[in-house]
Amino acid sequence: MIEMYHVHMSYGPDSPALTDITLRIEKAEFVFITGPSGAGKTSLLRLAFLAEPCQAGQMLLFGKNVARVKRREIPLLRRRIGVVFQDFKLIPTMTVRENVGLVCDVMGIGGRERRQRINEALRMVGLEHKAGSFPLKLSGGEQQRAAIARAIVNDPPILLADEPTGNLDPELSRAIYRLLSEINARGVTVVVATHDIDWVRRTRKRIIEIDRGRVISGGMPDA
Amino acid sequence: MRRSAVIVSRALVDLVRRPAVTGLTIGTVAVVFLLLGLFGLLASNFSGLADKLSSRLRLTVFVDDDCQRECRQQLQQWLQSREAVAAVVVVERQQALEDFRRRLGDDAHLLEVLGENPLPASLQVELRPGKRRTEIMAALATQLEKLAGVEEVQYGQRWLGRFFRFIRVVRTLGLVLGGLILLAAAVIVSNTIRLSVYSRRQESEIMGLVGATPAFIKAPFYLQGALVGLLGAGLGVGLAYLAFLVVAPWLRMPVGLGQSSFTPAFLSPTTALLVVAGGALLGLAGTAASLWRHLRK
Repeated sequence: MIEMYHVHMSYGPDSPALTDITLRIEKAEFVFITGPSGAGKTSLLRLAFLAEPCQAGQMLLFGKNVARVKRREIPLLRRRIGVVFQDFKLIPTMTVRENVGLVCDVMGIGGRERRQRINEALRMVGLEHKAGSFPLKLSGGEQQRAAIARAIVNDPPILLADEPTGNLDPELSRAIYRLLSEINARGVTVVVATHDIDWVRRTRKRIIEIDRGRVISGGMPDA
Repeated sequence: MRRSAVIVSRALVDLVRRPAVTGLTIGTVAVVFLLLGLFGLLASNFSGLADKLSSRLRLTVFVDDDCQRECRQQLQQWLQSREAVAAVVVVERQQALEDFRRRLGDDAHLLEVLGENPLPASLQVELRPGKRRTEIMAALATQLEKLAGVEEVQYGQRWLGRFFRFIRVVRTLGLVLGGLILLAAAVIVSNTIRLSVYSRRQESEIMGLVGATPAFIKAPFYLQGALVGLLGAGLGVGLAYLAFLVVAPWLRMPVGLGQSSFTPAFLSPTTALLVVAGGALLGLAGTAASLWRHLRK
């Protein structure tokens, strides 16, 4: 689903974010990307959903070389990738239902299908009762779940989550992990970036370790 | 269909959420289009008046007393051979007096104090419609004045020149001022849209991240701009029409002695619609400027 070969990315001439990244993430895999703060986890995810350009090397998304993807095709590819942002990126002036429905609006899904998809996503994350609430009225865990609902409302084949448990207590973190596992069980490729390596090791999922923008271990799936 | 509904609703929500800003912008555009409308009316009515006057423009060639039948015929033939001339009518001295008497109407008795007919015979020269211009008349008059038997040529040269110069000034002033206030209106619309762009900046960014195309993100802003421009221009043209209804009766004026009167006219429905559509275009231009500066990515 996601393949990178000797990929390089920088935010400026003197600030390389990723150097010689080679990794492959298979369909329906659950992969953690770990590393200390500033290691390049967020940059890697941003690269994966085409928010940043691949400046050198080769990157394949759904088997497609992104270097050959036209600018106007990028939004269409992004619709196939659900993203849970570290800061949630929920729109404060919209209710949870409207935030989740935003993806349906973008995709032109309306009417009954829209309602069904939103209800299903909210049910899955356990937020049906908060559908009419505004994000600022929600707890951190609830905001995180609302962000996950928005990321899965259109059934994307890939779900990327950047520090989804970063601000949550251990119990809530486990709940979020269970939720992501459920989503993965449906055949969705889940990639989670986190600095909490102790917690990740207990999950026995594949771990791609990065440091200072380089892959230290786990870049390729076990043969 | 669903996307269109989302675009329309996003556009309207912003306009309704900030009624003061929306109202102020529409009001400003309305004032701009009111001014433009009034200038346009002034220019088009002066043009109408000029056309009306032009259609009545004639050269009057006064012949001296020595120029009798044969001489007049020669002058008539010379005139009829000119490309600009449509018709030539000889007005004998007696007929000129009768015409003058008729024009004076109730004051015709004033002529009784004159012992004899003081009016000379003349040739009334009518020009073809496309040739009724002061420079053509002036050229013809210069040539005529060199011919034997011609005493004087009149076509109201001094006031006509002034009148046409005045119209040119009004038109130029209208174009320059119109351009400037249109630019100002575009800047105002642009600023209004910029407020929307700012308030929706986070939303626009998130929409882009979840797969919205740039067109889908920008369309509501364009719609807002077009709506503000359309409503403002519509209001402005409406106000100009009201002003016209009030002022028009005062502007009716006779054209020439005893001739038909000039009635001011409002913009034709097609022109009015085009002006309102111009408002929408202005709104779109303002939006484009705003988005170009603030939502380039």
